[in-house]
Formats: sequence, C-alpha cells, structure tokens
Amino acid sequence: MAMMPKRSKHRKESRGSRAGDASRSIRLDFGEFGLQALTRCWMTNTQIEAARVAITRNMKRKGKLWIRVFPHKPVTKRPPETRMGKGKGSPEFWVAVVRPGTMLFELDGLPESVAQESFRLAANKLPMRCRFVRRHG
Amino acid sequence: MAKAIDLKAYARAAKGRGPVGRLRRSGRVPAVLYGKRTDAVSLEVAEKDLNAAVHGTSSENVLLDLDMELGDKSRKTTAFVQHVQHDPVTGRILHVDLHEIAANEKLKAHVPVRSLGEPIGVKTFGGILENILRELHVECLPKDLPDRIEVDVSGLNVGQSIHVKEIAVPDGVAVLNSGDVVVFAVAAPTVAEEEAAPAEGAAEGAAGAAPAAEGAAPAAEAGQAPEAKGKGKG
Repeated sequence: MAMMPKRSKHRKESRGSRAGDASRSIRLDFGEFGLQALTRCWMTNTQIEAARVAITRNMKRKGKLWIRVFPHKPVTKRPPETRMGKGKGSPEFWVAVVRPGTMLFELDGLPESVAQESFRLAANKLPMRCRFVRRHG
Repeated sequence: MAKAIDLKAYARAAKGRGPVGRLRRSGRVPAVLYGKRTDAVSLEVAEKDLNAAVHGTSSENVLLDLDMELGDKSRKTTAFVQHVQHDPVTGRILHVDLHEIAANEKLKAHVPVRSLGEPIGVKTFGGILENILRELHVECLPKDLPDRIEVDVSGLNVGQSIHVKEIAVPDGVAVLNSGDVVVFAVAAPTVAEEEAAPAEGAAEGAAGAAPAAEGAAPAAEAGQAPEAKGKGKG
C-alpha cells in the first residue's frame, strides 16, 4: 500500500516552491548507509513504494530500512478533454517535495555491498539523480 | 585525543551573503571564534587547511592551535571545533564555529561510539545489530577528549543490549547521557512474509494512486474520479 496521509487539512494545495537545496533531513540520522537526492523533484507515493520494495527484496530480511520522505502534498489533475475553467481538478496522487541533498532512505545492519546494490536498484525507480552515502570513520 | 592541529586564521571583514560567497569562491571558509573570556571574532581560514584538519579524524571533535592575524597584531589560542556547516550536495565546508578553550577548562562534546566484533546473535542467529545511540555526550578536559569510544559487542545475543552505564570510558571522561539509554541492541531477524505482501501492494498502488483510505482527500476523490470526468466533458 503506497504511503499517504491519514487525514489532510485541505484537500487541494498550491504547487508551492521547489527552489533551493534541502536544509533539513540532509544527514544520516539513523542508519549507516543512505540514498541522497542530488536533483529536485516531486516524488510520488508509488515511486517511494517501488523503491522500498526494490530495497527490501534485495536485502532479504537482513538489515533495517528507514524511509526519510513522506508524501504530504496532494496533486490534482484535470480530467482529459475538458475546457479551461470550472475550478481546480480533483486530487489524484500524493507527492513528497524533494530538494537536492534530501536523504531519501537509510539502511543499517548489512554489508556495504548489499546496501549499495539495494540503493542502486531503488535509484533506478526514482525520477531524480541520487547518490550512495555512508557514515565517516 | 590527538594533539592540537595548527591552523592559520585571518580577521574577516566580509559579512553577508554576497561577500561571504566571494570569499568561499576564493578558497577561504568563514569562521567565528567565541569563548567565555573574549568577544566573538569573525575569521577566515584556508579551505584546504581546514579540510585536512577536520576530515582527518573520525569525528569533527578537533582541537586547533589557532594562529590569528587580526589586522596589525597577531594572537595565538587554542580552539575546539564546535560546529561545522556543510553544503548538503557538495559536502564542502560552508562555515565553522570555533570555541576558545583553556587547557584546564572542561568542555562538552559528542564522541562517536563504534562497535568492536560481531555479536553472537548476528553470527549465529541472523539477528540485526542496531546502533541506537551513535554519539555519547561527554565532558572532559581537552587533553582527555577521546576521538571515539569503542564498545565490544561480541557477547550480545538476540534481544540483548548494551546501555550507556555499561560502557567503559577513558579516565577523566564523564558521560552526560542517561545511563539507561540503549546504545547497541541485537534485534531478531525480520519475518520473510513481509516482503511478498508489499510487492503486491506496490502493484496495486501503481494502478490507482490512492485507492482506499478514509479521510484523505485523494482517496475520497479516487472513487469519484469517473464521475468527475463525465461532468468535465459537458
């Protein structure tokens, strides 16, 4: 089941700004290894889920995974072949606003080679460039 | 604790986003020095020298022998690297806070904790070693500050843990964390069936972005989507 908020204050939101680099959630706070975004995007809940499945399948019960992004933002779409006007479209899916530097996933409790391969598979499912990071020392 | 590293610093006149940006492009890093006895001083240091000093250790707990050129006079002092700001994408150092300290004055710092050995629970039963607390908050004299604290975890079995109070720290070092906080724990391996279910869920999720969850806006709309399309054509 793809992630989504349990409830939301407003059904529809403005698009907002994606400018600038990430200023929070930029460090490894939980695990030894992480997948960090290098470009900006709206990461949909299905993309998060696809990446999560790719990681958990590859790591085979070993290790622990943290998902550091959550799709808080609803995105609306207008129905096809409709004229302009008549109000904003209906909410279709949820996204997480990802800016360069955002830590997307973290892993711990497994060898670095397995973590690297898991994140490589996950990054292939995502709409932005990512890099593998690990703790120093 | 390794000995203090020599670093040359210069008084900084550049302040604000533009001038500091130009300073960074010229290979210098803005810094500030503060302490109990003196007023704060704006400084700049060579990025190359600072990188060598800060990234040469396993933590950013570094003691510096600062040689400052403040206009027409110079001053030498000892400083502790209190905080380092990094660019989230490039990793370059953006700014560094230097805390002026005295040799007989205790300082507080966060020291990384590292595990030694492979726990029995991991080796034999396939458990997962969890490092729950990665840094210990310690208080000590500058000369006693450890670079890292190593903990032998080889005796840990599944379900067992090591708390702060069980960790042996070097002489002269006091731990400020609560003794009951768990540092290392070995968790039982996760169950295999968890993998199959989310895979199916993902496929469903791809077909309809937000199929069914009460209260959430797109979920409520998902059921009405066909009607909305019909109305839109008119």
